[in-house]
Amino acid sequence: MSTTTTAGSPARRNRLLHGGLWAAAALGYGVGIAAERGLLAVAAFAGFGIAAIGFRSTRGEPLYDERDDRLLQEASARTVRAVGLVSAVLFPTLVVLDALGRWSWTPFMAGVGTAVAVVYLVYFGMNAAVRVR
Amino acid sequence: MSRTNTASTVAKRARYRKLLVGSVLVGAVAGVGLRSVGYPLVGEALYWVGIVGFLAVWQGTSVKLFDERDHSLERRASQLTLSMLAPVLVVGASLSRLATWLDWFAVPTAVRGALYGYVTVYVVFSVAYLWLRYRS
Repeated sequence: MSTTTTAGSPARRNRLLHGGLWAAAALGYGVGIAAERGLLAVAAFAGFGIAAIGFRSTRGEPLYDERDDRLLQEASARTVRAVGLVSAVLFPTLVVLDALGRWSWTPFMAGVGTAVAVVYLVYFGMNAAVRVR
Repeated sequence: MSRTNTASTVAKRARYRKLLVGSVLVGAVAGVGLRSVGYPLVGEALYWVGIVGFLAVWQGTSVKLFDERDHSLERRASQLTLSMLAPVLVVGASLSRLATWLDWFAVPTAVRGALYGYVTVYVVFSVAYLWLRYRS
């Protein structure tokens, strides 16, 4: 039996609806933040998020198949690679500019750098873990 | 004869992979070390020596350094990494906003920078995912 889904098939509609609920959650959160209505933003995110989780868990069949998993894994790998390449050039350049007195580190950029470092520490840990397994 | 060749190729691949990773690690550690003792420019020079060493090994050898199993593990590790960090971003961003609105404490600028760093990672991921999905 083929697992291929066609445009307009129930599986595709379910995936679109699930993705749409998460998009609505993100949009509601963003609009709430922009309008300075923080609690409303969190409520919108939580409401749509719970609806998305509920929708997924009440489907009788898996919402996502092996192709979706492959796409997620490939997108993740490309993300880690792209962020790594940009960081390998950006942060050393900033260090050189700082040393030459043409730029200075701000707490904000130090935070960004720390976040990137944490991403790679977790990635190396995960890489070691999946190799051991 | 064939078995000898295979063993030799495997040994070569292991050696080159160690060289590849080693050159980046040594360059990065030397860069951070020299920066912390007040020699940032020398540190950066050594960092770039490490990067150039990496590129030289990567592009200069005819031996295939990574096979399909390595790529598969890389994809799996990347997905696990982003899956683990997503809740950190969701909870961290929400807590930082709540702390501000409810006057618990002033969120340090470095924490905001870290959160925006994570947001950037997920924006890149979204673009990569949508591109792959609609291209395939």
